[in-house]
Amino acid sequence: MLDQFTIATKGGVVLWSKGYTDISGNPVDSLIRDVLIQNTRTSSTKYHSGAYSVQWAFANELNVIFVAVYQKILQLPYLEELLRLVKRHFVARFAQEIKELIDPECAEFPSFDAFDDEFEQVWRAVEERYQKERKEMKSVPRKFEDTKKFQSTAKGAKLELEELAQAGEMEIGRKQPSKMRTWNERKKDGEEGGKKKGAKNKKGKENRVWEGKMSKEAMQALDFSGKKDGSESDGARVAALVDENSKGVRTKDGVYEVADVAERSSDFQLLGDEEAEQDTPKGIFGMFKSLTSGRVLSKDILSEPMARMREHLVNKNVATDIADEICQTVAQSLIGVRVGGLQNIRKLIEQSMETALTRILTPISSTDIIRDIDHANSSGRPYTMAFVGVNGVGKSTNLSKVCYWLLQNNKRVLIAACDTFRSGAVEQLRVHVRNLRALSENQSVEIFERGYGKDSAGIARDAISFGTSNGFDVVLIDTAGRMQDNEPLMRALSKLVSVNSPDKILFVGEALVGNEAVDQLQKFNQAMRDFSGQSRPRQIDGIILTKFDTIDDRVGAALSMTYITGQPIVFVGTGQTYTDLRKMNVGQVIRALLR
Amino acid sequence: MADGMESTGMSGLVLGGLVLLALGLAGWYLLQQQSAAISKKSLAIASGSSSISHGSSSKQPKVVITGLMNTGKTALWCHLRFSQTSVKSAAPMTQTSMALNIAEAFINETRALLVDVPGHQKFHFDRTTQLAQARAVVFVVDSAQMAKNVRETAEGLYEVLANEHVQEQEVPVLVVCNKQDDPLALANTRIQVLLEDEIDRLRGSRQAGLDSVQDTANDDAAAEERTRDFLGFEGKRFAFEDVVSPVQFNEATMVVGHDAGGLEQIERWIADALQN
Repeated sequence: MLDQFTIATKGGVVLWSKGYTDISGNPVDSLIRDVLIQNTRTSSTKYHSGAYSVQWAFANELNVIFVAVYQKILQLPYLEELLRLVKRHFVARFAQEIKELIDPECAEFPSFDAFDDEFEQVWRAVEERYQKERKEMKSVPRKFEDTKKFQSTAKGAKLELEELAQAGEMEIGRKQPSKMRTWNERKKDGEEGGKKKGAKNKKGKENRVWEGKMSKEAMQALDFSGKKDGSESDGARVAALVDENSKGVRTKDGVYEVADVAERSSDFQLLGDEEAEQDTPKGIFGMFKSLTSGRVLSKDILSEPMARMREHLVNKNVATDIADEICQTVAQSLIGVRVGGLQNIRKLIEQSMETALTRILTPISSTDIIRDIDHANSSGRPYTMAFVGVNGVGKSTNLSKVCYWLLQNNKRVLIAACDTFRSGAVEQLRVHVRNLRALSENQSVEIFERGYGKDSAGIARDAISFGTSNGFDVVLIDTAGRMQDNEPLMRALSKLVSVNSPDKILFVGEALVGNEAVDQLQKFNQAMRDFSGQSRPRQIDGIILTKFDTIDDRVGAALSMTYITGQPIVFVGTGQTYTDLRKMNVGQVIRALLR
Repeated sequence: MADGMESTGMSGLVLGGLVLLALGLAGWYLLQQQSAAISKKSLAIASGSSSISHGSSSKQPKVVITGLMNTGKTALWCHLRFSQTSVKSAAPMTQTSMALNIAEAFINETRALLVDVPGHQKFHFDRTTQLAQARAVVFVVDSAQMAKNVRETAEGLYEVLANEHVQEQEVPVLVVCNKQDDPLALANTRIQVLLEDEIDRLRGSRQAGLDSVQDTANDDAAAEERTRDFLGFEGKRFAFEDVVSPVQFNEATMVVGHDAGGLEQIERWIADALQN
C-alpha cells in the first residue's frame, strides 16, 4: 500500500523514515525541488512523480514536513487522515527533541526510532477505520426506491407525480403571493376558529390550509419575491455593511495611493495592537504572560493583514490571481508560527513576503547568454533566439538592442526577418541593420529577408542554414506580433518553433500589462504545446520586459510573468536607444513591490 | 512654612512618580527585548530565514556551506555538528533541503556558526546574504557527477569567489570533493583543473554581461564592480592561486551510518580559518 513515509526537517535532515519497498528514483526530493521550493500549486497536497504519488503535510511550528509516497495507480483516500494523525502523534511525542535539534547546545542527534511502533499503530487504526467505513457502505446496498429503475414502475411513477404535484402547488403558491395573502387575510380577518372549522369540515380544503402554511415557510426558505418584500431591511443592512467595508478600502486606495507606505504601516500597527489586546488575558500577570510567551498565528489572525498585502500587490500591478496565490502560500507558511507579543505581525508578514518574492524572482536557469552562445558555437552552429509576443510590445526594437549588445561583444549576428505579415516590418529591420553597421566598426551584422507573405518557418530555417554556412555566431529571429487568441497565427508560430527549435524562445512583454500578462503567457505556452505535434514541445525560455522606464514602481508585471512561466527575465528594456537594455535587478523590484 | 512643607512633599511625589515612570520604562524595554528575541527565534525555527543574523554579526564565526544540489552539504553539516559525540555513525540521513540549516558547534575547540545553504537555484539570494558575513566558505562538490555538472559548479564557485565580501576580507574557501567512495569519482586535482578551465571561460562571458537596471545612475561604481568581478589576471589562464582568497581542495566522503572520510582535515581547516 504505502511505499515510504518520511518525516524530515525543512532543512533536509531526515528524522524518521520507513520504506516498505525499494523506490526507484527519489520522489520526495523531486517533490521538494519542483513544488515546495518553487512555491507553486499550494491548493492541492498531491504530487505525481514517475510511478509514484506523493502527499505531504507541514508542521510549521516545528519546521517539520511529513511525506507519504505510494504507487500512482493506488487510491488511498485515507492518506490525508493518516498524515494528520501521524503529525499530531509525532509532534506530541517528539516536540522536545525537535526543539533540541535547533538548539545550538545539542551535540547529539536524538533518536526517533521509537516512533516505529506508534506509526504502525496509527496506520493500522486509520486503515481499519477506513475499511470498516467501506464495508458499511458496501453492506447496505442501494434501496430499490433510490434507483432510477424504480421511477419507471407504476408505484414509482405515481409517487413521482405526487411529488411533482406538491412541488407544483408550492410553485403556484410562490407565483401567486397576492392570492395567498388574500386567503390568509380573510382567515385572519375572520374568526380564528373558522379556520379550524373549515379545516375540519371540508377535507378537501385541508390541503389548502396546509399548503397556505407551507407557503409561509416556502416564503421564508424559497420564495425570492417574498424575501424581497419581507427582508428588504435585511438586504439594506447587508448592503450597508458591504458598503462600509469597501468604502474604507476604496478611500485608502483612491486618496492615498502615493503615500501608501505610511498608510499601510499605520494600519498594520493598529491591527497588531488590537490583536495583542484581544489575546491579552485580564490582569497584570496575564498581560506579562502574553507578552513574553507570545501567541501562535492562526488563519483568522492572518486573514486581514494578508488581504491588505494582496490589495497592495494588486495595486503594484501584480495580476489578481497571482497575488491571491502568493498571499495564500505565505499565509500557509506562517500558520502555527509563534510570535512575541510585541512583535509586529506586519513585519513578520513583510519578511516572509520578501523571502517568497525573492524565491519567485530568482531565476532557476542561467541567464548568461554569452556563455550559451560560446557553447553553441563550439559545436559549429549559430546560437538562435526567437522573439515572440503580441503586437506593439517592442519585439523588433528590443531585438535590435540585443543585437547591439552582441555586436559590442564581437559576435557576428544575422537577423532573420520573419515578420512577413505587417507591412514595413522588413524595412524597419533594414534601417536598424544600417544603423547598427554604422555604429559598430567591424560591421558584422546582416539581414536575411525574403519579402512578405511567405511562410515564416521556412524563412527562419533558410536563415539558420545561411548563418551556419557563413560563420555567423548568432541568428536573431524576428516574428510577427500576434494576439494570443488568433489561432492561425499561433499555429504558424508553433510551426516556426518546432521546425527550427531555437536555442532561446524569448517572450517580449510590456511592463505596463496587468492581468493580461497571465493570459498572454499561458496562451503562448499552450499554443506551442498544442500545435507543435511533438512529444516534448518547447516552451518560452525567457522573458524580455519592455517599457520598464514607463511604470515607476508598479513593477508587478515582472512578478506575474516570472510566476506564471517560472522563467527568468533575461533583459529589461528601459528606453529608446540601442544602449537601453539592462539586466533585471531582483532587489530593486522587490523593494518597489513592497514599498 | 506650611507652603515649604507642601512643596517638598509635592516635589517628593513628583520625584517618586518619575522613578516609577523610569522603572516602568525600563521594564517595558526589557520585555520588548525579550519578546523580540522570542519572535526572532521562532522565526528562525519557522522559516529558516536568513534575516535572523542581519544585526550585529560580522564578528560571528560564520562558516557557510554551499554548493550544488545533492552534493552532500546537509550531510556535511550534520557530521560537523554532531561530531563531538563518540558515535559518529549517528549522523542522520538527508534529503533535499528547503530551508537553511543554522547551528552552533565547537570544532576542535573553536566556536563556529555553521550555515548550510540549500543548493536549489532559488536559494542563491540567501547565499549572497550569508556570504556577506562569512568567515570561511566550504564549497561542496559531487566528484562523481563532475563531468556532467561542471558548468553549474563553476558558476557557483565563481559567484562565491567573486563575491564582494569574500574578495575584500580574503575569506578562505575550501572545495570539498565529496562522494569519493563512488567508483566514478574524479580526484581532487582533476576537479581543480576542470573548474579552472571552466572559470577561465566563464569570467570572459561575465565581463560581457549587461548592467543591471539600477546601475545607470552611478556608472563608476558599476565599472568598479566589474573589474572586481574579474578573477585572476587578464591575459593569463585562470588558476586558483591567482584569487585573493586562499582556495584549497580536499577529498571527502559522507556516507550515512559510516565514519565520514576526510572529516578530520575539514575540521582542522575550519578551525584554522576561524582562528586567523
